Amino acid sequence: MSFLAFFYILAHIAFILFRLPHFIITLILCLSLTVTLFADDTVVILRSQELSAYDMAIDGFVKECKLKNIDVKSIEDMRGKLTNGRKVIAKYTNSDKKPDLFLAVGVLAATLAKKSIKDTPVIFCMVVNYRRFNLSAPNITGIASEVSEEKVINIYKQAIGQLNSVGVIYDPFKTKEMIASGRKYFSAIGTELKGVGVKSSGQVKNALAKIIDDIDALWLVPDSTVISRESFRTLYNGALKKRVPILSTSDVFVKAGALIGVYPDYHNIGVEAGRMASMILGGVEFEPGYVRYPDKIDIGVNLETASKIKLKISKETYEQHHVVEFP
Amino acid sequence: MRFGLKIKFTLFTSLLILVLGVVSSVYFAVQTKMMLEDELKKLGSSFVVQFAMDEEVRSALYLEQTAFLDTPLNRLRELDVEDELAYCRVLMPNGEVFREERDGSVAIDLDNVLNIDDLSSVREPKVSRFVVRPLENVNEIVYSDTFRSKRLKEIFYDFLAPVFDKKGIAEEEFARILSRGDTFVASEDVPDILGYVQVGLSSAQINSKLWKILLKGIVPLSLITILGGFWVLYFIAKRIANPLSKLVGMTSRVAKGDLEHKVYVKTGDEIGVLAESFNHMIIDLKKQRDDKEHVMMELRDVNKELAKSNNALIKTNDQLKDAQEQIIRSEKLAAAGQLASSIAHELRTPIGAIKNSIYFIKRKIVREQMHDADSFVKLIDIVNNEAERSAKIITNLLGFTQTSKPSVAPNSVKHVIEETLLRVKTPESIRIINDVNDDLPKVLIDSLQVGQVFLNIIQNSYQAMPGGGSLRISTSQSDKFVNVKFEDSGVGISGKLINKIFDPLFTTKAGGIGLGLAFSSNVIKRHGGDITVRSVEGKGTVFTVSLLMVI
Repeated sequence: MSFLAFFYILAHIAFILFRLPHFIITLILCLSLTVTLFADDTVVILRSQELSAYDMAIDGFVKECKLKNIDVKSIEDMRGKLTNGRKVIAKYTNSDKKPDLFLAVGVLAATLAKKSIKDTPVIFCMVVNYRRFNLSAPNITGIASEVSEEKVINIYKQAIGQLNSVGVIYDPFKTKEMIASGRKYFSAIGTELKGVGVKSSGQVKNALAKIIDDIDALWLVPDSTVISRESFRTLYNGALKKRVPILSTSDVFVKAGALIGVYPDYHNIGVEAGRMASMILGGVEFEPGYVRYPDKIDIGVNLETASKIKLKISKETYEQHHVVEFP
Repeated sequence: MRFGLKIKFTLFTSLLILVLGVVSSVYFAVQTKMMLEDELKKLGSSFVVQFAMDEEVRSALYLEQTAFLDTPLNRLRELDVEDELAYCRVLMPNGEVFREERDGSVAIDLDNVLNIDDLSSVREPKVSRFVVRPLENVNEIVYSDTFRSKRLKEIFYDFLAPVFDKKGIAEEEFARILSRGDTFVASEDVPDILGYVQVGLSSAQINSKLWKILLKGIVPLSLITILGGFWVLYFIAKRIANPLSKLVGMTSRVAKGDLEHKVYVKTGDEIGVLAESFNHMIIDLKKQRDDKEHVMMELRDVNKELAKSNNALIKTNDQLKDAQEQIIRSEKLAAAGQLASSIAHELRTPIGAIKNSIYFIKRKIVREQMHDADSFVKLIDIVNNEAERSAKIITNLLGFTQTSKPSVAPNSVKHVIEETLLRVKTPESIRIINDVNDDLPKVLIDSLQVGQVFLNIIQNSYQAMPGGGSLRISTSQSDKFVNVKFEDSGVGISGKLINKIFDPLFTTKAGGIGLGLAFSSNVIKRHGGDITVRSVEGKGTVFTVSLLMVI
């Protein structure tokens, strides 16, 4: 709004000095108003590293910003290095290039933004299991990169029917809260969640052996301790042998053999982040640490796995959701 | 209980080996433990350095995001293959605990492990005395004192390292800035030290490893060494003690007089020399003993000769004595016979006249019917009986003195005995026990003379048993004689008199003339036999008559 005042004063000075007609002044005023409206809010995108999923989210964000007349000044890539991010933030915070809002894409960017940016709004997205990180600050809001446990679990039930017990292998240091939440929602649909904690991926095999005979499905949570290339193969083979479906939260694992995956539309996450940016820049204030779950979700189904374990995804699932079939 | 040199030597040296084995095992165990502790310190230093240099740890401290420590902590846990990691802490520069993880068994107050004052001093050069540098060109390591958990009594090794923020610009980065390829931005004021990482290792595994090393290495090695030592020792002891045992055994044999053997010890050492000297000594002893035995044998021969001569002399003496006695007895017998013969001849005629006169007196008294004739007849009968008796005595005397040479022929002893028993009237109070064998060989005797001898003996026995008793007559066979034994239960003969009973004119009976047994002895001698007597006064007498059997 400072720009609008500036142009208004400038037009009066021109009228007094150059005796310009009022329509010219009006024209100048409109032009200045247009410039002000289109160029007042600037955003800098800070990306942890270059990933296709991040790019999808950024693409959605940029498109939404264009629709909302928000100027994306720059997309800065940290290339996975904290030092790069620190330089970038220093570049923008210690100069007149300071934007009106930062979009932090990825966990490194989000945490660095939380650490280094105190007086500029920050929206984070694409932070896997964001609850693990302390991203709560007055100037930070975000879009979760996962679908809420409640929704995911209900979709599982809708897709493959009632389950008596579901097993989960997890690292208590990483996904304890997610498991606690999941236990609550599984319990709500009449399913017992049997969890086995591990400290390394090497313990996954034994953990699976402990529960595989007592479960109807295996819930694969986004836990980097549990999921590695080797351990996933162990989980997949072990579950397939007992015809136990793997319920995941990512299309990556569906492609690798999990029966079903419930995951957000990454592009839409960017769109939602853009909407949120627009609202913040428009003066809406969210409560500190507000994070919303994405609205649009996709359901991945591995037909080959379904055939092997002789399970079919329900018609309702196909009717009510966007189902992507693999392979 | 006596122990031999072999046992003593073996026991002593075994004990020595055992003690050395145990001492060396303890020494190796202590050294191994020290080595394991050093390894643990190196491992801890390595852990803490890697942890402190981890980019994600730096990020976590800088960004104050504990979640960033998940992966480094996992890496650290995976490095801890021996399960020695007891706890791990990440501290903020002010000492505040940023994140702490500990093994479930570690129940200690970790705040006591590290003095916060010391931590702050790590940043100042003056407190570098707590800083050690296990590796070059890496972050400084603060190695605190070891501490002991009071509850677990377990030693932990605590390792502390500061996490430094990256400072300066790398050469390539500097070149990019200078060539305007990168924007140069002045660094914000970031402290050099982002925080500290603290790693604690438990020494529990040291003890476990030590036990494993002890059980798998030191103990078996010690046992093998000790057993090997015992084995070698046994052979050494055997090599030393066996020759000595041989010497001892040989000494014992020599002491018992065995000088026929030698000790075969060819060790070539002092024991060998000793054995050789011992053998020489045995040879000398044997020579001396042989000489002595030779002399002894000669002495024994002489002694034997002397004994033989002595025996001959004794025998000759006995013969002489017998001969002398025989001569005396013969002389006595001859004298008695001569006297008896003279008396008999002298008395025979008058007694005959007496008898004839008595006969006529008696006939006259009877024919003339004299008053009181019966009384006279009785008196005359008495005189006649006495005259008869006197005539009989004279006859006997003549018979004794005029004993004819025996006319021997094979006769049955049993028959002679039975004939004799028929001739004598046996009192009712005396019981005859006849144990004479039927199958005795015949003897060469004059049955009349020998029968007389038997009669004499039997009558003597009867006379010796006035109150009754028994007479046992038995026979036996020895060599070339048939022995006839007369065994009565009479009064017996005293020891003083028994040697005189065969002497002529010796008698113990009131009416005896002492010629019966002398006659009997004379008859048996003439038959080439023998007559002996044994008697116990009050119990009885045994006469044994030995007669030559027919061969």
